[in-house]
Amino acid sequence: MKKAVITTLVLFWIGIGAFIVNGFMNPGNSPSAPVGTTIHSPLSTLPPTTTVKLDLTELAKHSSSTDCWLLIDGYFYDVTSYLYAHPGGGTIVPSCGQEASQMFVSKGGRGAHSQNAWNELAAYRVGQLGSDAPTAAIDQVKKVAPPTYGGAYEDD
Amino acid sequence: MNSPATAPTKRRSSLPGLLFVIAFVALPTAIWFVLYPPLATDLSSFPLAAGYLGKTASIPGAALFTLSLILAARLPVYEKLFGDLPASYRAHQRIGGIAMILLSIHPLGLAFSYAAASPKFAIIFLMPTGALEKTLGIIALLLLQASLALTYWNRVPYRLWKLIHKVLGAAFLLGFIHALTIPGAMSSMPLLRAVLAVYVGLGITAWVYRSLAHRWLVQRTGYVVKAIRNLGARYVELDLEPTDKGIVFRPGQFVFVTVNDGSLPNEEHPFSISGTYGDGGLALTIKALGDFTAKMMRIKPGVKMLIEGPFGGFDYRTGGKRQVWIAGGIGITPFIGMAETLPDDYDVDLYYSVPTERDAVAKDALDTICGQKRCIRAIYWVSADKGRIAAETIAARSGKLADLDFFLCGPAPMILDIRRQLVSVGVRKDKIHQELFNLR
Repeated sequence: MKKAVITTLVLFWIGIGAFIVNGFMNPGNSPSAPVGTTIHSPLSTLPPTTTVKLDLTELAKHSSSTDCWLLIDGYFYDVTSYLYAHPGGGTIVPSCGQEASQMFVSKGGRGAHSQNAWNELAAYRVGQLGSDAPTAAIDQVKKVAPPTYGGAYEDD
Repeated sequence: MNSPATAPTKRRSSLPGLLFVIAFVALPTAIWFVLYPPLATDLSSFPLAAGYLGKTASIPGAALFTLSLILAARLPVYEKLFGDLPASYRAHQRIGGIAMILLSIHPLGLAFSYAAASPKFAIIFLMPTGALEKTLGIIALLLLQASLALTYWNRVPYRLWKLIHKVLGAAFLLGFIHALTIPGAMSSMPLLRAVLAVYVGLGITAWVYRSLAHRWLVQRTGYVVKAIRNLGARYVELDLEPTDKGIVFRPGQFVFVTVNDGSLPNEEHPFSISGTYGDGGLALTIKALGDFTAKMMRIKPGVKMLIEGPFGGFDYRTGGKRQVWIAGGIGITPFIGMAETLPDDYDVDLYYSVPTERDAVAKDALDTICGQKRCIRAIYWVSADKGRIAAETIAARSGKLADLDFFLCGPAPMILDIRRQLVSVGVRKDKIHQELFNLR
């Protein structure tokens, strides 16, 4: 047991060190995709002045754990960065790219979200269904920090 | 001393203890898996899987941390659960280690998840800033890690060891406040929160009972030192008489002794009972091994002591009639009491291994016993002349090893070495009974 505990302590602190070094070496505050995957958002290839029509076709393009939009009560939300902080973890993933009002309101049938959850959701709003959203504004949403219980996220 | 029963006693098993541990951990873990099954999340995504693992590890981790505190409370019932008190302490140590490993996985897994959103988010998550609930968790884990690392230091001084166990209780309390208050998956699981709230209560109760308020809560019996015999420079035998009603013990058991009249530091240390004294009294043979026992060499008649116990399942009645007893140095103490009360239908070879002849402090007592009884023979083994005692030596003198029951008591390296030798020549593990003094 002594060996296992000491090994764990060493690996733990190497891991913590690696996260801290990695965080400072990659200070960019746009979300990075998990290792081995790419964020396949067509938006990033467009000039920043263009707009995107927020319709159900667009919604359906964002249907994975690396690019996840939800349509809730008539508004589009990009919750990609929030997926990893969601208390329910990946339970959102099946709803990515879909109308998810009922799912959100009922927590997938397990109860109701708190007012706090609704407030947090507002930070990820991309725009209203049917409107034209500037790509710059959409990209901005990707920079919203998930709640890591670490206080307000400061921009560089 | 109570009269020894001659009927064979069944050796106690540690199986009930193991089942208890499994049930204690399985209850909250099962609730967690039912309310938040692995299939509910996208486990093909590495960060989401790591986040799920991190959250999940905290549940059995918290349960094991609770158990570790509970087992430190040194309740007599643990001897029924784990076989004897030393076994329950070994479980306490192992369980504490596993708890620390699981609770360390908890933030690492979550950090992977946050790092996938942005490397910077992982830093924000790991820093002890922001929400108090999170900071409490960080402090708790750091205290747990530091305390455990310190206890693995072999010669940790008694006072530091005591302090570490007080700190562990604080870490436990902070960790559970963190778990029950932080917004997360468990926020919407009232049943799991209720179970964990009961666990906090149990853990804190055990901690208060043993670490904070033991001098008022733990039942101890008063004794007075009546006589002292010096058995050479580093050995002393104390005869103790109860101030009221003495404890009831079996030969081979041990007690925790606290000297509470100010003549020695107010610490408690375990000692084997080496014999009886008068009506209801007992004798302890003590070797100067550390600071406290060195001070015990100068103890005077009239010194008051508090005794907790007896503990231990080291008992010849748990073996067959043909036995080999092996004592290393001061490990002879439980055997003296056992030899005095050994019934005639047993047949015992007692190997008494000492570094030099001067250390054979129990030789006179043993010679007297062996002169009166035909059921026990003492073999003195001076390792300065003959080297370490080996399985072949015992086989040459005592016969076929597989037919014998072995009782071992002495320094851990010697006992573990002999045990390994015996197992390697085919002695069944359940025929080897040992007493190791590593209760801290």
